[in-house]
Amino acid sequence: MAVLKLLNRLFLKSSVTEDKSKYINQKDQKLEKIGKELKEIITKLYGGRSLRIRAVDGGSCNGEEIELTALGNAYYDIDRFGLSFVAAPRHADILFVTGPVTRNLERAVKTTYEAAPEPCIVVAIGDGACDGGMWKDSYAVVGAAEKVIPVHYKIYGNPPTPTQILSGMLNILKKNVK
Amino acid sequence: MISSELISVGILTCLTGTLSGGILALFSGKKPVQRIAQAVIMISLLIGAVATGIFLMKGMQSLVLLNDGSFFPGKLVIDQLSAIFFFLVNAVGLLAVFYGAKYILNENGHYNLAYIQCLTALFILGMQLVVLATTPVFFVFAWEIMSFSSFLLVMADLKSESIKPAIFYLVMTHLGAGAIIAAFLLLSGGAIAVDFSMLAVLAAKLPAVTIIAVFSLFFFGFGSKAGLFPFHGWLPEAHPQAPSHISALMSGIMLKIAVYGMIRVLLYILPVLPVELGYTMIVIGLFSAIFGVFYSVIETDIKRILAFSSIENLGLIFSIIGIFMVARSQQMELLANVALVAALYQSICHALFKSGLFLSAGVAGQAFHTRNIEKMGGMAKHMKMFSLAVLLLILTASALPPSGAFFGEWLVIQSIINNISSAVLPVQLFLLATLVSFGLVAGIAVFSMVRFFGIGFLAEPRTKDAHVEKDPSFEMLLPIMVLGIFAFLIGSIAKPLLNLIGNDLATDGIKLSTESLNSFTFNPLILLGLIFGLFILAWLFRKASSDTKNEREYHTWDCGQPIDASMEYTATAFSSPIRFFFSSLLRANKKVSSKPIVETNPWLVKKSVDVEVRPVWNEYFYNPIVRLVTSASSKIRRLQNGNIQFYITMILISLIITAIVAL
Repeated sequence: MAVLKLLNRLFLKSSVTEDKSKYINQKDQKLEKIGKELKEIITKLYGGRSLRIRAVDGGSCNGEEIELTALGNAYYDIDRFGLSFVAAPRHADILFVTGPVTRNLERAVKTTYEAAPEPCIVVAIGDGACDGGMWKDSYAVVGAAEKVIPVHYKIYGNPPTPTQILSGMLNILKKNVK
Repeated sequence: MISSELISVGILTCLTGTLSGGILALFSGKKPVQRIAQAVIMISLLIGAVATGIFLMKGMQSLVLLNDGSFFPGKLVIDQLSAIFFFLVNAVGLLAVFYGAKYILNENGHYNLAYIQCLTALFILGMQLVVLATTPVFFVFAWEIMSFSSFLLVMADLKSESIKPAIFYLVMTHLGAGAIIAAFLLLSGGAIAVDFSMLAVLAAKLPAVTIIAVFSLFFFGFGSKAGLFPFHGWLPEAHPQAPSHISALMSGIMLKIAVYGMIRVLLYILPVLPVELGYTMIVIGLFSAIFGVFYSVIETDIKRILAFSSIENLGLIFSIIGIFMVARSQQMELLANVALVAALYQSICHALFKSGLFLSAGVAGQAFHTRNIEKMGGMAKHMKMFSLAVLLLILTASALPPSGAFFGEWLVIQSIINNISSAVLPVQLFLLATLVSFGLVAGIAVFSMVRFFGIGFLAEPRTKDAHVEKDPSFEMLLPIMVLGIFAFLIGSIAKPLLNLIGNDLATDGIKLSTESLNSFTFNPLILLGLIFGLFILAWLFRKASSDTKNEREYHTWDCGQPIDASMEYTATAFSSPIRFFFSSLLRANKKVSSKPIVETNPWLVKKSVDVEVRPVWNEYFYNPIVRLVTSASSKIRRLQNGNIQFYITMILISLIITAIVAL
């Protein structure tokens, strides 16, 4: 009987997911614009392959992580712009560091930087990584990411929204296009 | 001919030099005296090796060294078969003595150097004399020198954990020696000073039953010395307890002396034996090989791993000799010849790589102050030359091409496949069983050797108390290096070497067609060249294809968490699949015990695994015998009641019985 019930549910009843247009009436024009530009620049810089990102958590409050995770969801879907997160620093072109570097994670940040192939762009994401944020001068943290590894660019915000991160990325890449 | 005189002088100098070096070592325990004694022994061994080398290369007939019955009972003769083994004794003995002095000094007073050097010289002398002897009495005399000096060497550190195995060894080796003496007496009818050639004449006239009894006694005698199942119990106990260079001599050479004895008896003394005895030899050989290789996978003591691996190798060699016997009794000339030559070739390879491995076990033992492989690791990183030498030895011990030991096995397998169709049915079955077991044993041997090198040498040291910063001293490194290179490269000269052995035996008056070796259709040199060529090609390709200028080295990506020894594979875990598949055979007992870290919290526990392997032979073979002997002797002890009248009555009764029997 359970099988019949299941088949009924699957084929005869109406769908439980609802139409996207019901909630999202118009596309985020700003995001689309940034995305388009990003895609052009990445195609130009990397010859058609995507830009590979490795994110390392230096002891953040997890706010930045939530925003970075959001970059991959169906709404932002940064893969379509030619950006992707990778599982090891060995594959990375760009390194995201979040959070004020705590003493326990200092080694992790350092080895991640060392393990990434050169040249590698290091971006500090969020106030914590940029200058220590609200944990500045605490005994438990080393401080901003630049105290541990060289940081090339900073994206401020506590935490920055996905769109802010993307526009920050755009600015960084624009500087590298000649 | 002048050169034959020179050779005999050389070999006699070698014998007397070895003896005098040993005696010299006893004079004083001071370092310069010991150095001189060591040099004397080494130089005499070198002279012996060179003389025998010339003898072998020239393919001479047998050479009488000493014909004077006044000093030795009977002649000392070197012929081609004994020359092969004499050369091995000298070559490996030379390296072991070179290694030994430094090793003993590094042990910080556990051993007495003078005592060890003297006994080592006697041990080597005993083995040299065994292969030169031509009369039973002298053979057994030399055999006893070899056995007794090695017994004393096993218990050289005078600790209780080495005295027990030493006495076990003494009992087993004397049972074997007793069997050999009995066999000789049965053959000669009581005369002990007759020549081996005379014994052969006598043996031809004996009835079949006596011949079978003689063969069984010889097989027990030599088989128990070679560590064949189930008489191998002493071997994994005694070999690890001796100092490492003595273990190398015992495993590398003394076991080969047993092979020599078996071949000598089969070829030169006994007539062609019935095929069933050949079957027995094959079965016992294969059993030893399979049991040996299983236990070498399970053991965690590195020297015991090697000792069990020796049992495996000797099992294979004896099963090849068994094939020789079967083929000879079936008039399969081709297979018999190939098997004989392959058995000798395997003996040479095994002597080289196993003695090298025991020497390196000594180095590892001194680096970690333990023989437990679970505590080792990390030697490959800094002890580079040493690890390279051991790697060569390991490749040879796994019988991988193009190393030496591969070609012996290959030769046997190939000739079995070529000849199996022409054999009768029971022979076919036994050959097939051999083929299958060879495959099983070879595969698991690779497993065991990978475990030895992978756990013992790679990764990080598993203890803090490890001295793996630099290579061992030159004196300890050189012998291992030499043995490693020779054991590995002997494969590339396998074909000429096999032909040399074949030709040499043919000059010894054995019917041996050397064409049989042309069935060996495989050129080792091409294989060696191919492998090295591929290596170089891969290296060149990498150089050319990658941007090596901008290369930067950094340690393994560890996810930010430092890698340490607790993350490493352990030897016990590595052998787990074998324990699992053959659990009914191996009777391994795994106990997992868990202890709560905090008494009140049952969820957080510390778990430990204890794997216990109960040797089957102890349970069903040795222990019952020990119980029987003990209970019998406690019953006999009742006669010793201390009553003098009772003793006098006993003497009277025995006199009467003797008188009745005698009259």
